[in-house]
Amino acid sequence: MKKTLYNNVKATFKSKWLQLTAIGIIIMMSSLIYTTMSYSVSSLEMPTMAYLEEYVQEDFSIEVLEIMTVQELLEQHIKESIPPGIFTLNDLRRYDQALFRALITDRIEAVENIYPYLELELRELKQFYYNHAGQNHQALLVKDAEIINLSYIEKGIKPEQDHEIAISRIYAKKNSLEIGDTLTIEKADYTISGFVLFPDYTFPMFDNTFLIDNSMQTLILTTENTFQAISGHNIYRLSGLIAEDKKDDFKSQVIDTIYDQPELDFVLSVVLTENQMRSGAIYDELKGGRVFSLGFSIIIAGIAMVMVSLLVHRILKAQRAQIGVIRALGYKSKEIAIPFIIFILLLVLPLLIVGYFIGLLAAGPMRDLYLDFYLLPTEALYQNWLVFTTAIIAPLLVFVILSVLIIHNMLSIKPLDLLNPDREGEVNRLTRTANYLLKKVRPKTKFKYLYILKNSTKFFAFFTGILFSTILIFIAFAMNGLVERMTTATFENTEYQYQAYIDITKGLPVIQEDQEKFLSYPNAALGKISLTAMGLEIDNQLYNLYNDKGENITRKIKNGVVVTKSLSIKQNILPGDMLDISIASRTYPLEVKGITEDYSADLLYFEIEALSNMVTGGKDETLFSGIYTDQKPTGDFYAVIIDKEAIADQALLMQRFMDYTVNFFIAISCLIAVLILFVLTTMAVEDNYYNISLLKVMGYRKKEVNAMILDSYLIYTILSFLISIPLALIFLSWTSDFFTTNYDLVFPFEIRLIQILMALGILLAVFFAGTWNAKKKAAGISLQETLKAYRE
Amino acid sequence: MIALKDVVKTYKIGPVETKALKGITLTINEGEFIVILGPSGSGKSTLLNVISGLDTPTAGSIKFRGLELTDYNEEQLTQFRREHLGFVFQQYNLLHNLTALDNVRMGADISEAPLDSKEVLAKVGLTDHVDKYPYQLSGGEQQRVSVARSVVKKPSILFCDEPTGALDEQIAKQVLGILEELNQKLGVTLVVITHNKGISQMADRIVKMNSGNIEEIIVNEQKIAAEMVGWG
Repeated sequence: MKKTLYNNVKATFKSKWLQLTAIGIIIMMSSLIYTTMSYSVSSLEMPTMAYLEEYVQEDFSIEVLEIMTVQELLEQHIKESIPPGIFTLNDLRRYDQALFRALITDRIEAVENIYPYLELELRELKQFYYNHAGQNHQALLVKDAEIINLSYIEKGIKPEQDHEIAISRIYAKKNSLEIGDTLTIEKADYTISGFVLFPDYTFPMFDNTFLIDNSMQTLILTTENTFQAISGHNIYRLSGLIAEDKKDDFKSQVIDTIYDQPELDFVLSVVLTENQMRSGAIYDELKGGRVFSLGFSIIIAGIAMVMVSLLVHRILKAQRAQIGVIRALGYKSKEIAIPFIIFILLLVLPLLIVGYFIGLLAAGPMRDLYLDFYLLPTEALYQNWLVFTTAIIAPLLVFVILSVLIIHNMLSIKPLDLLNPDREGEVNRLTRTANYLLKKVRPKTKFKYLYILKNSTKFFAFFTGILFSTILIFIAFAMNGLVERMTTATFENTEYQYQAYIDITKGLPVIQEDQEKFLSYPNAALGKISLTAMGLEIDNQLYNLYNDKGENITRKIKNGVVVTKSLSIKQNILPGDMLDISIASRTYPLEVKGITEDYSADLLYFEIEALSNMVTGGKDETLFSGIYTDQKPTGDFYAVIIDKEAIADQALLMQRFMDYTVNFFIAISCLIAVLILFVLTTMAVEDNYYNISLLKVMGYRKKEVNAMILDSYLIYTILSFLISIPLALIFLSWTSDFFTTNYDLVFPFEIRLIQILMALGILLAVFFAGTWNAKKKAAGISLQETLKAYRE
Repeated sequence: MIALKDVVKTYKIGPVETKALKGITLTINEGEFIVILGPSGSGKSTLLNVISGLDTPTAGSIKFRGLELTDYNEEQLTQFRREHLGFVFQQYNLLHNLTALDNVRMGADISEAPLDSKEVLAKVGLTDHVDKYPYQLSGGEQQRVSVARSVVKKPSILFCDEPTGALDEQIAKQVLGILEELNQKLGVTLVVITHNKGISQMADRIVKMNSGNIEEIIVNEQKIAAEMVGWG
């Protein structure tokens, strides 16, 4: 008899194989996602933390004025040593290394004198573009440090000869470069001596633009001579360490006071590493990865648990009479329950284990995906008991406990009661309320909306699942075009091909007919915020400004200032606002005349003559720092030439990656939604088996019956879709605020009407795919079913 | 109204073939009250299924007002049931999430000229129960809702399969009274399947079935009222 019990449960489970398969995929996904994320994150976390400590990651960094302050220019030894026209640190460095070093030492000492518990070191970097394999690549040359942010050679050796360089491992991998290979930069060949990492660049964000494609950009370590020989845009900042006992007070004692120190007027900003995208984003990424994996898996596992519980409950309900007979024959509850528990274990355990091992296999590629963007050391993946327990044992226990509770509940009914057909239970409060609200509508419409509410657990699983899937689809859509908006959207509206910065030490070039001047002043300030001011020719052809409606607003710089969207969001600036902008130690009240649709940088646009006047204190309105042109400029007058295509190439690759991510998210969302709809609508048809038969007998047409049973799912799917729109927008707004507040970075997430319609289209397609089986099942229900006395 | 000629229904389960109806010929007239009587397995439910279009015969002809039902496809049969038929079952088959009134309105909804749902509920004595859910009603009350649901759409024929099978005598007689009134006052043709011989005393004709055949058709000259029906 006991064998018969097992065979009976086996046959029951077998008859539900399609629903069990769908639930099984969901169960597997929960274990898979958790294992993948946990192992990929932990294989990065431990070596990263050790590396950042051993190689002395900066605690904070200070952005400094790239020009000399009035005070510095008046210093006797500088005043007597440099010719007029040299006022930037770059110019000074090119003109006289020793003077530059002395000035930097003075700046460091000025800070350390006021804050003796800080230790500072100059961080020198050089950003430039070069051609590799027919494409424009970007590099950040990093000068080897002595105290803070030490270079870490992952493989090979540090460059010892001038023709040697160390590059990022991921860049080498993506460009099929090995140690010993040659990389050509500015027509000179360099041998790769090793792969290098820098603690202040765990994320390859070289400037404010969001170009982070490691296949087209690399960090480079060279010898001192080579660092000097390669031309590029110099970046200077101070890296800092805080004495251990002062770390907690850093904000109040340093950040809040440093701008008020008159001796430190060269300080533009002080940013803690945890708020610095290039160095600190990894901390949030690792933490986020763990939270995401756990949260995502819990939601999916939760949905699976509800569905397993519903299925077990339904199976038991269908077996009510048999259970009654078996109990009447004298079998103990335990004997009846054990076959069910064993089959649930046989269903859930292998799937959790399969999910775990697929997750383990996927963890490597997932970690590599992290390493596509983060510059971190890595180690082999090791399994650990905590992940194993969380991925398998914990959900298994919950599944079993839930099932035991449901089985116990059924077995606690007296055998005699089990032998009688189950009378339909009471109508719950939700149904009564909905019935009251729908009192004016036709009964078949009422039936359509009410029966789904009868089982609130099922309704909750369905609604949550669809909501979750739809939010994922929206987030995926919001990422569509994100990189483009953050990088090249502005450039696409401009006509220039090259942006060239002049080398002031070589004299001024003669401007050709097809060239247009610009003036870049990197040290303008709005309150305590450092900004770059850009002077443009008012009637220029190559660099026009456009607002969000696509209107050309270049001429608005005539009597005021135009700001970028990124800046307007961060500082809450609106057209018509008056800004007090400090330039060269003077403050100018200026009206905001317009906002240009540019998320790539925080810029203030001026008329070039007006900016020149401000920079020179009204002495000269002809100053310029470079040109825009559509022909590559020749001659030695230019220190840096930036090809617009280089940025476009990088953005294109990034966008392609983003598109893959978007499609992946949409596919996962659709899969979850299809599985949920498949299982629940099939259950709905089974639950309404006799009602469907009755409706058919009464003369309701097939279409009407399907509508009554399945359309409510459609309506609630659309309702959950509508609710998901504000929820997705809130989530995106929160994410955007998080990055703006913590990393000073604006993420222009955007959900357009067409995307909302596309999401609806996807969801409807998912609905029809998911309910296909239910319709088929409903069509197959015979009319005589309604005549049966005992109903399973 | 309905004419059956040589109707055969065979069920095949694996290699076993069972003849549930073995060539039935029967005519049902407009406004007639017919009781089909017979023991379990005699084929009375199968007969009801094929007459009402719930099932198709294996052979033979079924004509409704001259139209051959066996030529109808599924859609046409649905339309036929929708326009002309009503059903009352032993199981009340109410929709549990809807109130008594809404259950009746479910029947009215598919009729082009239905009766007023509230009035029909009043006729079956459920004026005070219109807003109650099925679980709040007794078995007899549920069956009366079921009758009201079938009647509200003004069917030409009402098929009742053991309509009092789950009710006690007193409640059963109330339900039978309602059916009687429908037949006599509204002219609804009634086909009632039962194994309760007492109910047959209310009918115009009694069709006795056995082993898939009509054993006997008795014309009842002395019809009695529902309350006079002998029970047990």
